[in-house]
Amino acid sequence: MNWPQLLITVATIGSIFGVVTLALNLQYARGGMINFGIVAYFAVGAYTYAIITQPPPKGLDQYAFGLDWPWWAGFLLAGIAALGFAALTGWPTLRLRGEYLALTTFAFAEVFHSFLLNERRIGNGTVGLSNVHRPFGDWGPIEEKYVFAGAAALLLIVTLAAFRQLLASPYGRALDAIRDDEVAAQSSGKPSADMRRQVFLISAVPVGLAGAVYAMFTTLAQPSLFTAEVTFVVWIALVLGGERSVYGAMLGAFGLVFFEEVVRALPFETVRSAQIAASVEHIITGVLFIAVLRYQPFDRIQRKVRAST
Amino acid sequence: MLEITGLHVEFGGLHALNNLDFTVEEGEIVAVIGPNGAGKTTFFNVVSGMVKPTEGRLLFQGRSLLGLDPNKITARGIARTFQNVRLFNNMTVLENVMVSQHCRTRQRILDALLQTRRFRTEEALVRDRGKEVLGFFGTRLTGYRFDQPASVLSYANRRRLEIARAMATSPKLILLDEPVAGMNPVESAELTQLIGKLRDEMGYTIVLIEHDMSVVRDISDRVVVLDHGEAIARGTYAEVSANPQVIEAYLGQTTDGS
Ligand SMILES: Nc1ncnc2c1ncn2[C@@H]1O[C@H](COP(=O)(O)OP(=O)(O)OP(=O)(O)O)[C@@H](O)[C@H]1O
Ligand SMILES: [Mg+2]
Repeated sequence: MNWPQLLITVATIGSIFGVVTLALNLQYARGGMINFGIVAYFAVGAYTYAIITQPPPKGLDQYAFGLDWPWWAGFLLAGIAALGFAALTGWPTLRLRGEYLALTTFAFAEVFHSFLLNERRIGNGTVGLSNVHRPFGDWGPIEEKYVFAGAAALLLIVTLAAFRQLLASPYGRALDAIRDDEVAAQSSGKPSADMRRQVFLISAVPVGLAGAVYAMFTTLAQPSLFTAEVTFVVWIALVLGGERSVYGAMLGAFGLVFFEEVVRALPFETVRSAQIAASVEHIITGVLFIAVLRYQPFDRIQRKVRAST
Repeated sequence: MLEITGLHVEFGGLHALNNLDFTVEEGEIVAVIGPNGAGKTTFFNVVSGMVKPTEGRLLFQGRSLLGLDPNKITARGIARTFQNVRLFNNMTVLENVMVSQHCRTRQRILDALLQTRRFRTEEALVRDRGKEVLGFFGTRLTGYRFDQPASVLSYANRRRLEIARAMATSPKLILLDEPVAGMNPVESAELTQLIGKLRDEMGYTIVLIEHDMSVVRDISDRVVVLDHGEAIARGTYAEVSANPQVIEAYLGQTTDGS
């Protein structure tokens, strides 16, 4: 097994999914919103980046739009597009609470997925957009893959810092108050519905940015990358890491990606054994999930750390 | 200050409030009394925007409150406490008070993210003002208590903190729903005195719901008696307590008439 390569991949993909997990943590643990359609915001970021940076169509290309703008424009617009998409989807759904919100966001993401599958002119249908622009290249002696891992990690760190700053501010305090007792928070002057909507919008931005980085990394924006499975992976990461702590959420993301990559990197003699390994991976993820929910090890560690300080 | 006319509230056929007229003048302490289920809390819920009336007018300082969300009503200057104390239990005592000041301060997401100077000075002011408000209750909510989670407080302190939180919104009118419920006689007398100070020193106008008649007698300028959602009597404590209708509806029902 090629460990250095594997660790670099884990660092990159783990950071990307870490960002999405953090956003989910903000929405769920602070805003009380269950978003089962998070993959859609991720996909919007990826497609936006691809469309903004790809060259205009020529020859046999089926897609209709390509702006050929620089990577940073695509990157920023990916965040803005995710924000816009959150505004669009949040407006009708955020009146709903709990499992109803979970169902509608899930439905939204499924609709968006079939839109991507069937719409040829924007996203090139099932084939998707390939050869997505990869900005970094080698930086002097530093190989491209390291630059990439660094960029993804940077996005994660910036997202983490921004969220922490926000949550430590009066704004975060107001969110805590709403989570503790919404009625009392309203009578203390907190516009709880508006603030929940703001959290939904703010947290979509890094998800869109992460989608852009994911598209750069894989050089692809295609529907098969953005199935409900992504949503579930991120949710599992969140639950694994303990929903109450941002570090736990990140740790969960890295742990899960590491596990997946290890299984993927195992050498198999036959197709059959690879298939079995894939199923075993799912089973183990499930068992792990149940075990963590049952024993809540991360919450326990956190409580111990708290108690000792 | 508060002018209410012809207020109706219905819950699926039940008239919780029935053609209620109610006025409060600035600087008054008005007590609302009445038997259980009379509609007292419902009245507070309407004024604070949590229950929408089916009919009626609701003016505060000459402007209608109808259709406003609770947070908007708080911003207009009406704060309240709850019969079954509702604190932010996972936050500290000081945070409980700080958080409710922010309907007065200008908090922006961008300021917080960039930690602007304005943001930092404002945060310090909010903290100081929070301590000042808590200091109103003597030493009961100060010192090491600032950083205790609200959930560990004694029942009486929880009630005090809820009042402090209401004060922190810088209101003009405070609605207190059974502020001394569950307190022993000493605590109750002390809080009664403090409620007087809230009006005399802080200048708040106060409406309180209270079952404890000694409290009502001691601090209210006026008393309004509700029964089955209707105001059956109003006047001073002496007038109201001598009213036969009131004695029948309310005082007659309580076991010891206290
Ligand atoms: N949200 C609601 N839905 C349905 N009925 C309600 C609701 N709120 C109050 N009621 C009913 O309205 C009536 C008045 O209730 P309210 O809580 O205002 O009484 P109260 O005077 O505060 O009584 P207590 O002294 O017990 O606190 C009661 O019959 C109550 O069951
Ligand atoms: Mg009541």
